[in-house]
Amino acid sequence: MDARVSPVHHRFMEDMGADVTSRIYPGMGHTVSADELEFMADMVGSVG
Amino acid sequence: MTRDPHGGAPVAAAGTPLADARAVVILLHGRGGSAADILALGEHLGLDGAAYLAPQAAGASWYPYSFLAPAAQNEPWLASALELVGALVEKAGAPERTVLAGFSQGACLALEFAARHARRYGAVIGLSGGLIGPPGTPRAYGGTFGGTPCFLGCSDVDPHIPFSAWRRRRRSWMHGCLPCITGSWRTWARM
Repeated sequence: MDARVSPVHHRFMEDMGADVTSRIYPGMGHTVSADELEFMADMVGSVG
Repeated sequence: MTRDPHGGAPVAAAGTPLADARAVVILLHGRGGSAADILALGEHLGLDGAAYLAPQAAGASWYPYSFLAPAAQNEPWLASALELVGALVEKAGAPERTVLAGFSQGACLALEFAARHARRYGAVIGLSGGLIGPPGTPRAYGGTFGGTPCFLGCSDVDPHIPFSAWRRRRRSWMHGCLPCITGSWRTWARM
């Protein structure tokens, strides 16, 4: 993702060796989106 | 005031029992939220073999001031909260099967803990949050995540995060565009 449009600290986490995915949700406000939950489920599903 | 305000915090659990879990997800609620709220998010994920642990912040807040306030202002709450997360990570067992996740103030706490204790975790997930401390905070934490999957999700119009202005101005918000950001310090203070 273009570093200019990634959420804060994307690059910091990447520099520390994390495999970072960041997503911006236009107009969402301060809440949790269905897409975030889906992404989170995939991530947790691939652990272990 | 106690030096360890979150010491002995109640921890709500859901999903697979810890001993049998292939993944342990530590869920950190936001300011004014509750362990039950964020645990519901975990249950919504509903994954077989995942254990969910959600601690409850004293007074429903992990620290009193904004995540962008000078870190010392948020002590001893911040240190206490980080210690609590550390105890849960230990309880969870193998770090590579442990997921640190949070929303808002809880996302800030999850990311800050992870950065200060970098290693290969199962995943690190920050929903609408960032590392704790004002712009320019030195972050020579050392350590490495060793390829830990990390997800950062955020709106472009979040009154709590100086992000829309950050994007509009095409420069890092960490380098001084705070004064020109939409929304007031008071709204950010909720994180």
